[in-house]
Formats: sequence, C-alpha cells, structure tokens
Amino acid sequence: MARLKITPKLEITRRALLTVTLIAYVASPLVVLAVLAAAGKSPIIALDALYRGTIGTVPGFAESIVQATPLMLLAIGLVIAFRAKVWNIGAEGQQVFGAIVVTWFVLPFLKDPWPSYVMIPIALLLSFIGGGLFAAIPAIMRSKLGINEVITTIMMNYVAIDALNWLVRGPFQDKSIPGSYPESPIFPQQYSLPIILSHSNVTIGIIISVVSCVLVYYLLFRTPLGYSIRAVGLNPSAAKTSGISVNRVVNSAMILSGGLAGLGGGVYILGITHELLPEQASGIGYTAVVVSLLGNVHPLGVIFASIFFGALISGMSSVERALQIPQTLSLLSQGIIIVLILIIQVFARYELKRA
Amino acid sequence: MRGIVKRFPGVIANDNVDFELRAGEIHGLLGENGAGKSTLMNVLYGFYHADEGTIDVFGKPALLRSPADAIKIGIGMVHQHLKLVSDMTVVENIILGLKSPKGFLTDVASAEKRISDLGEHHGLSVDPKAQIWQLSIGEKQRVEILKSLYRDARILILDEPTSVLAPSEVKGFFAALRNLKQTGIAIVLITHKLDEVMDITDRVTVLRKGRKITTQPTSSVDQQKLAQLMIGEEIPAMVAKSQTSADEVLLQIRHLRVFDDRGLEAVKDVSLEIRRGEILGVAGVSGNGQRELVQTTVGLRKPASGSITLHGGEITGKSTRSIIGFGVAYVPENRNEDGCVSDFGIDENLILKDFDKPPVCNTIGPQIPTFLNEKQIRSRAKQAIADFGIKATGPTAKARSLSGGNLQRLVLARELTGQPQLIVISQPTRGLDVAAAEYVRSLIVQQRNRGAAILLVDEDLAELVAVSDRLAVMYKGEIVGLLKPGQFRPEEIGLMMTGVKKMTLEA
Repeated sequence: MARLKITPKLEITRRALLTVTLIAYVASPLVVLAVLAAAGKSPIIALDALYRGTIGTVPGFAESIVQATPLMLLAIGLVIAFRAKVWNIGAEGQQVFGAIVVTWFVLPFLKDPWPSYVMIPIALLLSFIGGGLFAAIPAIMRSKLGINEVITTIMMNYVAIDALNWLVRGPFQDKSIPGSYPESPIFPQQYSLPIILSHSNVTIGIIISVVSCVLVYYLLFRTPLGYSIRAVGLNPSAAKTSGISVNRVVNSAMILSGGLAGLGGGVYILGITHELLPEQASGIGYTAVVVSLLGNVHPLGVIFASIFFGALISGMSSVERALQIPQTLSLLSQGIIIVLILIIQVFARYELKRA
Repeated sequence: MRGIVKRFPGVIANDNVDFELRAGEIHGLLGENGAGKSTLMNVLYGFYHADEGTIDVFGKPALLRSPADAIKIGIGMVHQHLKLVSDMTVVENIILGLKSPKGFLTDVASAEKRISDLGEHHGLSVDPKAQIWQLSIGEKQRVEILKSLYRDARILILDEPTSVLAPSEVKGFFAALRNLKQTGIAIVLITHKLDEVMDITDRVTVLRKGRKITTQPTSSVDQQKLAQLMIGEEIPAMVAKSQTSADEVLLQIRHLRVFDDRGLEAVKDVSLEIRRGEILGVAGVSGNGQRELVQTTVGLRKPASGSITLHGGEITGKSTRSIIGFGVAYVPENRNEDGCVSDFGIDENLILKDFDKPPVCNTIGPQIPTFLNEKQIRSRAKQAIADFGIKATGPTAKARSLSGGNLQRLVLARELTGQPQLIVISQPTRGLDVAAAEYVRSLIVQQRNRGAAILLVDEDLAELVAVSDRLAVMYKGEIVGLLKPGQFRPEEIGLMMTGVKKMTLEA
C-alpha cells in the first residue's frame, strides 16, 4: 500500500516557493467571498466589486497601483533589514519622519518655489536621508549598547507619530484659515509627483518604487555590501570569524532600510496627500512587514506582494462601497488572508513522499 | 531490533540492521562517523522512526513513537551533546518533565534524597543542589546518567560518552559503568575508539556505511581486527614530512593573558613561538584555555595583557580583518557555526574573507569595491571543488547539503587560498571519517612543508602526536609542558593534560 508522508525538505526550491505563493494569491479572494458569505452578504456582488476594484476597471487598477506605491518602498527597505536579520519594525515611524522632513523643506518655499525637477529630487532625497537618520538611532542603540531593535523601532514609531500630531497642530499647521484642521498648508503644484496615467493618481512614484526594488536586488546579490548583509543575517558568527564587522553591517542595513521607508513617506506625501496630515501615520509600516514576508523577503517577490496588497486594499474598498459593509469586515478579511498566506507558505518547506 | 532500515534524504543511514542487547552486558557499537551508530540508537530511543523493521524490548514488541515511549519502557539515552539546563540545579534537571508526587508542587527534598542514594549506589555521585553550570563535563555526564536511572532505565545508551572526558576521568567513568552492569542494566556504548571497546565491552557490534558487519564477543577480537572491520580497508599512512629549516620565528606570543566570556582568566601568562614550516600542536582537555588562545591569536577576542607578534609586527588586539590581511588563516573548531554560512552556496562561502577585494570583486581604483565578479566567484568554486575533491552537486550547492568531511574541505579551500603565513587550526578532524581526516592531515602537513607556520589545537592526541613538530600541553590556561619530537609519550601528555604532571619550562 502506498502511503503518503509529509517530510521536510532539505532545500526549499524556488519553484516550490513560487507555486505555494501563487496558490496563496489565488486562494485569498475566495477567502474574502467566504467571509462575506458568512456575514450574509452576496458573494456574487462582492466578487464583481472586487474585480472592478482591482483589474476590472482603469480606476480600480489605478487605485491598486497608488496603494501599492509607498507600500513597495517600505517593504523593499525592510527586505534589506530582514536579510541582515535586523528586525526593523519601525518603517511606520521612518516613513512619517521622511514626510515630516519633506514638509519642513517645503514650507519655507511655499511661494514661488523652483521648478519641479529641482524641488522634487531634493525633497525625495531629504525624505530618504530623514528616514535613514531616524533608523540610525535604533541601529546605534543596538550596535553600541546591545538594545533589542524590535523594541526600539516600535517605540520610535510612537515618537514619530506624536511628533507628527504635534507638528500638524503646531509649527506646521496651516494658519491661513482660523480654526482650521490639523494639517499643513497644501503644497504648491511644483511639489506634486508627475502623473503617468491620465485621470488617475498614478505617479512616477510607482516607477521609483519598482526601480528601488531592482536596485535593492543588485545591492543584495551583486555587491559586497549586500553579500555581507546576507552573510551577517544567515550566520553572524561565521561572518565575524571571517573579519566582517557585524555592527557596521547591521548599521548599514538599518539605515538603508529606514532611508527607503522615508522615501516611501516622501512619495506618499508628494504623490497623494500633498500636505502633511495626521493620516500620514496610517499603519502602512506594519502592512509593509507583512508584504516583505509575503514577498519571501526578496526584491522581486516584494514587487508582486505590494501590488497584490495594493489591489487587495483597493478591491476591498470597492466591495465596502458596493455592499455597504463596514470597513471592519474588509479589515477582517485582510487579516484572514494574511494568516492564510503565511500558513500556506509553510508548505513550501515540506513535500509529499511515498512512505 | 530486527531489520531496521532508516533512510534520510539521499542516504540510507541504517540498511537492514539487526541488533541484540542482553541484560547486564556492556555492548560496544563501533563504527566510523556516519556509519549509522547514532541513528540506530536514536531509533531505539524513539527519536527517529525506522522506515522498516521491528523492535522488541524485554521480549515484547515496542511501539516507540517518541523518547517518552522509550523512557516509559526503561530506555535511557545520554547524547553526545549533553542536554541539560545550565541555570538549574542537578535535581531540577533530573526531575524536569516528571510528574511530581505532590501534584503542582515540586518535591525537591525526596528527589534529592533519591538522587544522592542512586549516585552513591552506582558510584556516580554529584551534589544534587549544584547548578549545572558549576559542574565539570564529567559531572554533567553523571547527571545525564542519573537522569535515566531516576526514570528506572534498564537500558542505557551512551553516545560517545568519553569524547569529552580527560583520560583520567574515563577510568572512573568506566568503573561506574561496570558497577551499573552488575545491577543488570544493559549498556550500549557508541564509540569509535577501539581501546575503549577492548577495555570495557562484553560484546561488540560493528557498523559500516549503515550495514551491520558483525556482532562478536569482545574477547574474540583484537584492536587490529576491529579496525579492519570498521574501516574495511587498510588505514592510510601519514603523509611524509619533509625536513624544513624551521629557523625563522613567525608567530611570537609573550606573556598572554586572556579572560573568557565569564570574566575568568582563561589564558594565564602563555608564551609560545612558532617558526615557519613548523606545526606547533596544543594538547589539552577542552576548556583549558585553548579556545581563548586561538580566538585571541586571530583577533576575535581582546587580550588582557601580553603581546602577539607576527613576523616581528605587533598584531595584539588588532581586528580580525586586519589580522587576516597579514596572512593569517583560521580553521575554526566549529565548522557549521563559525566556519561557513550553511545557507550560502560553495561559491559564496569561498569568498567570505575577500568578498570586497579583487579578483572576486571589481573595484574602482585599487580600493573602492563596486560589484561582485560572478565569473571569478564561479570559477574559484569550480577550482576548489576540483582541487580539494569536494563532493557536491555543483558550485552553488548549499554548504548545509555537504557532509562533515566535504564541509571541512570547503573551509580549508577557503582558508588555504592565498598562501597564508600562519594557519590557526582547531579540531580539524573532529567528526570526520577516517579517510576525510587523513586527507585533512595531509593538507596540514603540506602547508607546513610549504613553509607556513601552523598552530594546531586538537583534542585528538594521536593526531597531534602524528603531525606536530613540537607539542605544547595546556592545563587551566597555562602551558604545562612543551615537548620536542621523541618526547611525545601519550601517557605522559595525558598526565600533563589532567594536571597531574607539570614540566618546568625553560624561559
């Protein structure tokens, strides 16, 4: 009698990983429908709305890309940190700080700024530097004092969020209208990222994001720095024995990671909101952790995972509107999908064999 | 155990093995590394499940789904790497996982009493209240055995128990085993040391490449015969050493003092020198400062005082990276943890030390690294696979897929490229089979003949005696003996290693 047995694999093949991830991607819409059906909503209408909110219509597709754009930058940054086994949970704070730095740069030049091709590169560069500096603090706390980066990066998120909330009600607040909302003045046109898909909010941000992923791919797999990041992540003790300075590598990975998150914050504020809002801290930094894991901590995986997540967010808001369901129900579906995907990925590590 | 078959991906660890154990005997299970000894016993202990075969224990078919099942029917196993919680006391470790007769409360007092009784009765006494980290390796081993006895084990499996003991400790340990045997307990002694088999076992089973070769009463065989059965071929001879004019001192260590991780003085006022073309062996029971000495030499640990010079230049306290730059190679004792990145391919592992330097990395000018040179990396890997006979599926095969011998070849391939001046080697053949060990030794001697200075730290005394030009013996952080060829008498070295004897060293 041929019995089948589940055995762990010695090496996880790329094919197994891809297959499993694909299954996860395909299975997740079904989960959404199941959740909605369980809540007594029509799965047919939901499916239609999901389709229209993602790949079925141009606006739906555009919104998916818009949602994916900053997410991709945050997640690709995390790939660098996670590859070094530095658990940066602070992408949220780093992207907020990036946006704060951008606002700080923009506000003195509200009237008559230089043209876009000067201002935007400077603003984006500053957002990168801001995020990097913000990540440097927990990096140094870890490498010099040995303080766990998970704790410090999470705490730094609160620092950034509280700073944001204070700034939009204080120094950065738009004082032109008395009794106005907690928000900065709206940025002039010169600071808006160029739109690449007409009648949509799809900007060059998506190009910046994808290019960043490609660059990170080259960084990790084709440069000595990337090599040392991977070596330290996989075996710090062997890296140290071979003369690699583990602390230096950890610092570099963290700072680059924070820089990309900061850039994500910059792309978000210059591409979507055009002003600093309390909503800059939307929790995207935590979603990015999931996206980077869903993308198997690989640059190419992150491109797909970000777009998938962008589509999920866009599709679910379309479902919300169509079915008049509360946002919590769509968040619930998202949560279930994340857990499902992580479970499915475990299967890549096993294979069925005849016992 | 009848017809045991255990397959792992790619290998058959046990191929239709029969094994029989009688009450009140000490049964030697002999074989090279990878012969399947530990696998077979782990099957008996319920740690692995046999793919085929049956196991009867005390005349009844045994269903061994986990060690818990094995323990229940009176089987105990002491692993090579002891599994104790170091921040707990002896009693706590022994009763760990057992139901307390007092329900939720642990019954330490009565357990303590029983443990001391057991210890005394079997000649295995340890202080039940001591914390594990305070104990010597020998004592920890006793705790492991007591742990099994406390669970009323009638079958005791010992996996290479003497590999961590000093020669003097082995004696006492064997006495305790004989004592246990008298009480009717059956003992399996997994080993690859022939003298131990001759010394203490009643019967011996030899495994080779997963197959059972024979089971015989020990009295009917001798060491020569056993070695033949175990290896199945002639033991290859040592590489001939050429005469080298070992005059020029390359490495000089003066009055070195080093602290260990716990802040205790691990190396005490050690002075050594090694010449070009010389192998200086360092003998000693592990934990006598060899590790700290080696780590300090290669820059992984900062000395408290003293100096290390290489070719006259000070390297004391310099970074590992700069010391590597001076032409120092290091083959660490722990291949898996310190010697390689398991999830890197052979190619990536080979560039671990010079990944940001030409030729494996392109540079702008002589200094600024840009991109890795994939072509160079790949061709280096192919070269190393060919030159060092690494058996692998290809240059990108992951290090974790390599056997111990091939992994050591990989580490040596990396460390020996670039003709290092000084090679620091720790436990080069630990865990390797005879053929691989022989190859590694031949490489070491080759490097010596080329003119490299070699610091060889080794627990395998026979190996040290075979390859060293001079031999230093370490005990409690001090050099207690410095021997020239012709003075290498294992018994005497053994006495020095255990602190019984000390040579007066000329300044």
